Amino acid sequence: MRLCNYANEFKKWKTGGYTLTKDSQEEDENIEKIMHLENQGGDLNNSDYFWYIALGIIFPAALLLWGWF
Amino acid sequence: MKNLPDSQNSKTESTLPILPKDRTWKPSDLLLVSISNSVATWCFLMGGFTGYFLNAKMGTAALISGTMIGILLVALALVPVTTKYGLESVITSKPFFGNRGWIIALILQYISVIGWNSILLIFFGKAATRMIVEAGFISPGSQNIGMSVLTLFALIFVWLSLRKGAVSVQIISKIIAVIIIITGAWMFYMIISHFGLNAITEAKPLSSSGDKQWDYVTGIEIGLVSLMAWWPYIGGIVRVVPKVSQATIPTMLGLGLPVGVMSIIGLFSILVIGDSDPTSWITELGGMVMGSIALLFIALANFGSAVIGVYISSLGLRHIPLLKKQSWNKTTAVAILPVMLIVVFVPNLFFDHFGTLLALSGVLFAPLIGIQIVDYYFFRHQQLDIKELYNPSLNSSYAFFRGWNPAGVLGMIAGFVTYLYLLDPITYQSHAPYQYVTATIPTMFAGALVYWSVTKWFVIPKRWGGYSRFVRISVSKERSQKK
Repeated sequence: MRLCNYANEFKKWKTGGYTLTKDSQEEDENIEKIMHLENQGGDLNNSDYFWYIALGIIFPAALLLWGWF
Repeated sequence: MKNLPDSQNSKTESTLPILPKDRTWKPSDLLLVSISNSVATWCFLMGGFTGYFLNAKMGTAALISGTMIGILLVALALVPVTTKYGLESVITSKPFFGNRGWIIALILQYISVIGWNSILLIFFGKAATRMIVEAGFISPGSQNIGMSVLTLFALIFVWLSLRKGAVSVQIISKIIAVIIIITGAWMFYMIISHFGLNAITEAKPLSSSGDKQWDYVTGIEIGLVSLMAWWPYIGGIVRVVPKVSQATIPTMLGLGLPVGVMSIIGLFSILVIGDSDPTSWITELGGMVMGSIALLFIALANFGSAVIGVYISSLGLRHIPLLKKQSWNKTTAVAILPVMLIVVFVPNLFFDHFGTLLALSGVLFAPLIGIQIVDYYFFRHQQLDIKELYNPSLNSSYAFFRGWNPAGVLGMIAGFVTYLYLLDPITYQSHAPYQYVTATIPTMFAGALVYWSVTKWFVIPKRWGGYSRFVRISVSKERSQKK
């Protein structure tokens, strides 16, 4: 019986044919909430780009020059 | 829901996006978890491997700069998208692999984490066995059995530790991060005070190629490629902070810099001692008591990283429908099982082929990272359709062609071929222009370029992938900004 359940789950995943269950409703609510801007974590700002460039490009470049000479 | 174990109710063990109210880590928490995750015996192996090609000064520069450039690339690919939407790494691959093709990312994650966790736990077993041999509890002849038994115990303990999910990770990591910093500083002190800085800086690499340029780039490549393997880890870790900007510095300084710095211990030790493995020399240099304590700390560092690795692997596995409705404990058991088989039956195989494992990280993840950066920044303008992301049907925007994005697949193949041409991961034989540009960076660019080309000229005209929606949004944003 359990193997039969797994086979059905796999078929549903392949065809996308899920029926609406309590879990699905909770998933939909969660997804609906995250689509609102106030529930998201924002985008990269200038400060982030500064740190990425400073730590990920300038610092390694300086270190490589030091190591070579 | 009340009948389910606690961890299955936990939002952080779910494959769904984590909402702001559940993202409770501060930047300092993320920094400590990152340090705990990043520092493990793989650092010593990396440093030891580099010591074959480079002396102390060049090796130090190459390792640290390689790891910092590597973490920059991985962070750009993953941190913004995972912290913005509260996603873990594997699901972020659906927009560029398709909602069936994402299985590529899951398989890569699973293989990579199995490999690295196996290395960690083998070293844990070695460190712990060395301790009990030194303490006289077992004879040196029983080391192999002792190692297998201790490693199995470690695996069971990892599984038990993860019963509380992300809460366990946070608590364990904070303790281990502090221990790691103290132990690392002490090991540096032991090597430098015992051998002197002059001896270390004057020591010659073990097997230089004779080509300074090639050796230097190989050192950078070792640092770069090791960080590619963070792709599966980063999403699950950083998504627990509420804002993108709170993840930037902890990621760079927690996941990148410590790896490079701790690798130097392995570099120095192989140059002056001839062995990068601290478990073999720490008691001789530090004495029985201090050496045993350091061994314990090394074992804990590996344990901490293994806990996070299994946690991440389990998160990825929960995307599979068969495991989605299983308990968290069962999922973590599935994540641990292959590691258990490896560390018990074939531990030496991984040890002997660490260089290949490193290179495979570049082969597998470098093109993926290039593809993700192009897709998220240039085609999607830093926006995803979350509803479509969780739509498993072939009507989803991310279904492309029967669930597969040909651009993503072709980009991966292009990257794979590029890497193998530039650097053979088994023999480390290379072709130009490897000695100027590494193998990882061109691989990333090759994957990105092919992905960009196929998307622009084939996928978008076919109206696959939901791209047209983001063209309309970015155009309307530009118009509203001009007003």
